[in-house]
Amino acid sequence: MQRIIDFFLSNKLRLLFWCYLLIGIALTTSENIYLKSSYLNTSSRLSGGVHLFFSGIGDYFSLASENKFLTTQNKVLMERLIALEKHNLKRDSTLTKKNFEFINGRIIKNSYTGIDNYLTLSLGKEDSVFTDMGVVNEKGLLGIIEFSGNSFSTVQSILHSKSKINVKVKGTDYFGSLVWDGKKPNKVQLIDIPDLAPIKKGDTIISGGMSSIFPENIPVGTIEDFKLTAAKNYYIVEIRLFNDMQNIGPVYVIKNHLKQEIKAVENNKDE
Amino acid sequence: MNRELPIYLPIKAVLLILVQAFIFSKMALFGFISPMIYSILLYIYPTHKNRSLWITWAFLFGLSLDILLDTLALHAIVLLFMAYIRPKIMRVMFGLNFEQKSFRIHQAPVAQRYTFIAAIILLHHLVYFSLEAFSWSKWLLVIEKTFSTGIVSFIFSLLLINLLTTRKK
Repeated sequence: MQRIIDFFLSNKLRLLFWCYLLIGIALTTSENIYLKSSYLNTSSRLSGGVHLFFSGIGDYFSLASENKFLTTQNKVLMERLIALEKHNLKRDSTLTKKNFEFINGRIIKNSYTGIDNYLTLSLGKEDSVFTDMGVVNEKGLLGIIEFSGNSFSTVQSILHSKSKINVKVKGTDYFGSLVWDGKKPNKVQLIDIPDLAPIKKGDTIISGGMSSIFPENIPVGTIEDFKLTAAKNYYIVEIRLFNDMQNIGPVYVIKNHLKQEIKAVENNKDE
Repeated sequence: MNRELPIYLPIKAVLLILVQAFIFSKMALFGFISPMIYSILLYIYPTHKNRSLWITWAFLFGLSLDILLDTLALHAIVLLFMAYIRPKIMRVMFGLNFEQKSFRIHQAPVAQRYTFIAAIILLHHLVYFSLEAFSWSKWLLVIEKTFSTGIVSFIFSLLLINLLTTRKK
């Protein structure tokens, strides 16, 4: 017994180091849902309050520019509405039935210089915001909710090494995946576009609508450059984002009312 | 006034966390560089103190930063590792002087001190970005990020160290 105590006392520092290291590794890589969600829930509650306070101060200074932006957006929407009414577009049940609902919120913490970037959203389960919902703003795609706490959520940004979102070239049916190489926050890459696709610089990229997370036609960016892969059968396309990822204010979370139905159908098909 | 009173260290640490989380982590120099200046804790924490307490400090400091920056426990792991190997780096940098109980880091020659700061920043950034990428295929990106961010962090760290430490005349 004495020997065991002596061993622990003489290796106190090493044991303490390994103990902390294991805690750190468990918090970072654990797939245990209970451990991960309780850590993320506690940390989002703690940091959310602090970030909300600081972003609240910053918001006062951007009120004027935000007002200006909202009136411009209102103007565009009014013009679209009048144009639609001119064409005598009648409302029918298929048009008024909403598949997608937008919930508005704010980004209170933003990151864009790491290899894996996350945003903190001022909405949580109390606002009906749950994991795997899409997040967009008026300029385009931002990311997908990775963890939803009671009052705050963590969003996996499109600037994340594991982000892979289905998109397509506007006006065509060529679909590909949006990924990020970890370098510049205003540029992302589009992969899996076949060499037959008629793409050119300046073409617009929009969401593909192949998943239940994002509806079709949400803007992403424009093609800046493209080249063939080493196997020469697919393009790697460099895309300049419409969004300024360094400056994100108000955002919308997309809730798909048909998600459960789509999942049920997909699960049936798998069986 | 004696600035080596222990009360100063927690205040400096809290200040470092806040400055890192709300100023430096929000910076994007050249569009992609966010300096990580908090590694100067490895410089300002006194040497020859209780080492168990020191690594506990480092781990908790890193974890507080992780909570604020949504980085799981990456900063905690890196700072813990750096705190654990700090005496080894110091022995290489300062040689036999470090073995003496009377050794004070701010009394060492400027060249040695700056080399030490550069070494801890580069090693810290290399471990951090390697853990963040966690893939051999991204080694080039890790090296690029380590050097680009490292140089900027080094410049800001020197400024902060001069601000936080006393100059004995």
